[in-house]
Amino acid sequence: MSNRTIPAYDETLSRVREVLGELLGDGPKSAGEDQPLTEALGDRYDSLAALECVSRVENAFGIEVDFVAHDVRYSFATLRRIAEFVRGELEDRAVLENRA
Amino acid sequence: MNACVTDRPVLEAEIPFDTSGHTGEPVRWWRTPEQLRAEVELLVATVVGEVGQVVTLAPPGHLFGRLFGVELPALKGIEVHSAWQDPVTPPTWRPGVPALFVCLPASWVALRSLAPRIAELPRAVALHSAGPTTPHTRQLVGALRGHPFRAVELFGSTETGAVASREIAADARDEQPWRLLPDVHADLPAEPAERRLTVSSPRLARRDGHDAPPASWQMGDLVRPAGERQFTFVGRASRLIKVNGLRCDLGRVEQTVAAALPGLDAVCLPVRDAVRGEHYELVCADPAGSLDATSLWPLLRRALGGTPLPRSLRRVPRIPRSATGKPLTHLLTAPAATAATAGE
Repeated sequence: MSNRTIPAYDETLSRVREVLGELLGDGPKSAGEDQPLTEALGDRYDSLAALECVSRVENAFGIEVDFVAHDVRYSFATLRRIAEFVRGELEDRAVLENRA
Repeated sequence: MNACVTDRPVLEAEIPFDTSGHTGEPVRWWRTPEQLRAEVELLVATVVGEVGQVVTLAPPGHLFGRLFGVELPALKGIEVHSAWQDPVTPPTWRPGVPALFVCLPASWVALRSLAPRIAELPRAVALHSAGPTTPHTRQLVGALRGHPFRAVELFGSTETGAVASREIAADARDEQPWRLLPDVHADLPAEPAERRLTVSSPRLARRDGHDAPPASWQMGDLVRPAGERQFTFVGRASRLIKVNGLRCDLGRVEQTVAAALPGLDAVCLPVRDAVRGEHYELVCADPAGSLDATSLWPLLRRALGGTPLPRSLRRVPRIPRSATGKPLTHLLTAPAATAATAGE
């Protein structure tokens, strides 16, 4: 059995804010969880910034985003979607580890 | 004189490429079709080999993207799949046809998800330029170990074209020295002392307003000779960085910010960037307390114009400086600790 604990949504969201804040300054810290990041951060949240966020989130949570299977543009559009995406990936990984 | 207006008639079909220049003013460089063709043929012969399609993730307005995303397909009569407009969406290509991938630092994040599809190609080569490779580059190279896939990094500039190349290893510890391309000459003596790289070749560009290309060109890179026609890259001779291929002079950014926002004390710190290769952080002190982050970003955007904006903005109570006024950047390189001190 896997001993991994999936963090609660609020904990995940808080960590996402922290990780993105290290990258983009205080914008992600004050953004609403459903506010589009393009609105909260303006044109600073362009395609390259989204890629950088993907990279940071991967490192922080130990997951890997599959650009073919996942709709990155959708999943990384708001803080809530990022947090839900991360939790989904962690849950999938836990299921796979339990099967192994 | 406006640097983009030429005193000399432009030769028919000469193609312009712009750089930000070392002073921040735009500079235009002209290349002849013969030079572009020579560079493509040289790199096909020495680095790329024969391919049947090109997947380009580099914009054609820059020399690298133009050479391999436009000139090479035209010269060889092969199809090109342009994917540079949207780095988040993975590119597509025709299965079963040897392919060249034209990559910038940011290209590798999405490309690594395509490793299984690349592995199915009979042969694939990825060319990387316009900034340092990233951990994602090595991740893809490692995933394709044992498959007919090679990743090659080009060293060069808009002024010089490609100067040297090297294979990209999956492990950063296996990094190879750069090897000069066959038509490039550089003074690389036996003693391994650091030096500015000065090169000559038939592919140097002609600066706008000049009659001919220079006989040689001193690049903004410090290198150390590493054997016959080889060198290692030591660093940049100036505070110039490349943000996904766009030049950015950090000294110039500081001057611009100081002029546009008097009272704000700001210092640029270069940072490694997992997607763009290089980037910078703006650390600033606002003793008057009149500017918050919300108001600073629009002001910075207006002041810096086309220069890449900082990746992040960090406020500190003050910028530590030496007795001569030089910023003590080593005291500013711990973002989390300093930000906490600043109460952010």
